[in-house]
Amino acid sequence: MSPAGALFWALLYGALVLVPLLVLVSGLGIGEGAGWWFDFSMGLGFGALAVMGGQFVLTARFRRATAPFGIDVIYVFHRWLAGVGLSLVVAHYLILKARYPATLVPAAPLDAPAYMTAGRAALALFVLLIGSSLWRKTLGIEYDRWRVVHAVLAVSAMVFAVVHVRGVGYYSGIFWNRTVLDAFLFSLVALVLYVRLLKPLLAASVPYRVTEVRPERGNAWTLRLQPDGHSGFRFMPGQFAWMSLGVSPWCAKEHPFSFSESSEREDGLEFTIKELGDFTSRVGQTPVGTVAYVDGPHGSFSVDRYPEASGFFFLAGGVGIAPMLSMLRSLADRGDRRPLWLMYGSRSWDRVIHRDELERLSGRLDLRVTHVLIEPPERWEGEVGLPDAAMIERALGDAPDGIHCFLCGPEPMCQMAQRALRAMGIDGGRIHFELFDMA
Amino acid sequence: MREPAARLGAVSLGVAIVALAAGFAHRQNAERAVIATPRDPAVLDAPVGAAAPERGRGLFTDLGCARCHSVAGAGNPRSPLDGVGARRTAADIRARIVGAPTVRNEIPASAGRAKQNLAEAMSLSDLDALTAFLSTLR
Repeated sequence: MSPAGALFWALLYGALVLVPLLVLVSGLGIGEGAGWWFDFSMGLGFGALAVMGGQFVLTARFRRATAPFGIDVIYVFHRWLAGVGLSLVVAHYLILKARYPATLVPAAPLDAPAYMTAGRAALALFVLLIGSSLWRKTLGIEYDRWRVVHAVLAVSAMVFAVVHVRGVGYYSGIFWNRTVLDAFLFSLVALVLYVRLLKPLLAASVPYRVTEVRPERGNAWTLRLQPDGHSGFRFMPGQFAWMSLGVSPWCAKEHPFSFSESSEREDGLEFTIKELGDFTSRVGQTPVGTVAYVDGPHGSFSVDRYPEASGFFFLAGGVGIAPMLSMLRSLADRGDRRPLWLMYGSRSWDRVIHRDELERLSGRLDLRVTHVLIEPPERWEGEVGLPDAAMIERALGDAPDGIHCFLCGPEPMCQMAQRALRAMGIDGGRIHFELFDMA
Repeated sequence: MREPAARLGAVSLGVAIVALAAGFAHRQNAERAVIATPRDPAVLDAPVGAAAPERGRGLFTDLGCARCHSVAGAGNPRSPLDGVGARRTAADIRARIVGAPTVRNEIPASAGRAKQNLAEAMSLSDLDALTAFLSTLR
């Protein structure tokens, strides 16, 4: 993480969210209150509006602003902030309900003033929004459908919240308060237009074409993409992009995939994708020539961020090999001679994705590969089962100080490896992993 | 490392908002303004109408006036009506209950609309009763 960049963007974001409330606090005369709890509740309401509005900024995938953190952690922040925002909304409501119940009468949607019904609708939609995200898989909502539902719920909840604040109209007589609120709303509208209209429009102007669909071991496929009429972009090995295949850039059917190619090659992009039962099960049938749109590069999971490292340890499970392969290929293309370790968990020897490529890379790099198989073949002398702490210790042995570790695969494996590596004296700041599983 | 930092960031932002809201509430209520209650004989002697203030008190509750106003601490404290009978004439109170054009620019638009809806639903005798009740708040 680049500390100065991260601090700058974090402070800017904090200011953006806190400004409406700061204006509220400083802009009004002293002693015009309606009671401590009443004004406190109103303050919480304004704060909640700012937090929920700020959520749109976080998911707009601004590359420059998210790069210092890694965009995956921005989504973690987004999730936590949703909880914070909802708590503020609920507190705002409950304080009124407990101390000023007359302000909430009548509650029936048609009898109450429209702006009060809008406030209740916003609260209900925020609960739905967060519930449908936290329990998407439990509720069986398919990812693509969830994304559409999420966007519609978020925008409508925000519209209702704004109608509510506007309708109630408290404190809006103060010029600055009104101006800041208007500016805030204008920015939100502009942001939604940018994400939903301008960004797809920009993506449409830089299309890619699928030029190769290559089967790999373990039900995986490698897709090769060439820029169509533009020069593409450079990425850091280990990064990923959101890609949509054969659909319009406006229909929001895009998924994050790691680049598996060397970043030193400048003639297109490669993604290795495993058939996982969802839409990826059709990836092998993609016809050559299919148009693709790529939003990237994103992510901070890259050896290039740690040039001072004395060596690297990679732990991959299944298709988690894709970003590792990108890093290994790039290091090989650069003639890097630092010591490297790769521990790779697969189901069986036949299903080790990119097995032959890893063999070739071992010849070009100072690389020790440890395969861990759940179902080993006969006379297998290597590691058996799931990667564990003892295997990592055996593999790393007397690894030099100052190595950095990259973990990519199932969550329990990554957590196990984190504990094991820390127990071996490797500082948490030198252990890196993508926080996938965004919803 | 990064996940706990994100969590800490989100929670800190929440704490900052709660603190700012508390600061706002404190500042707003630091020196509660004393509502002036001028004992203007002209106001006191103004005709209140024949309606019974007690019926007006009931209407105040039934019509949901407490959603936006409070009396003796009950209801929405943003716009207290304590002492309104001393500050305003009965005719003025009446105009404000129904959101008459003469007072429309003094009240928020949403309140103006709510008051007009109220006016349409109220009989003249109700309006007299409510005016009578509010005039007793001195």
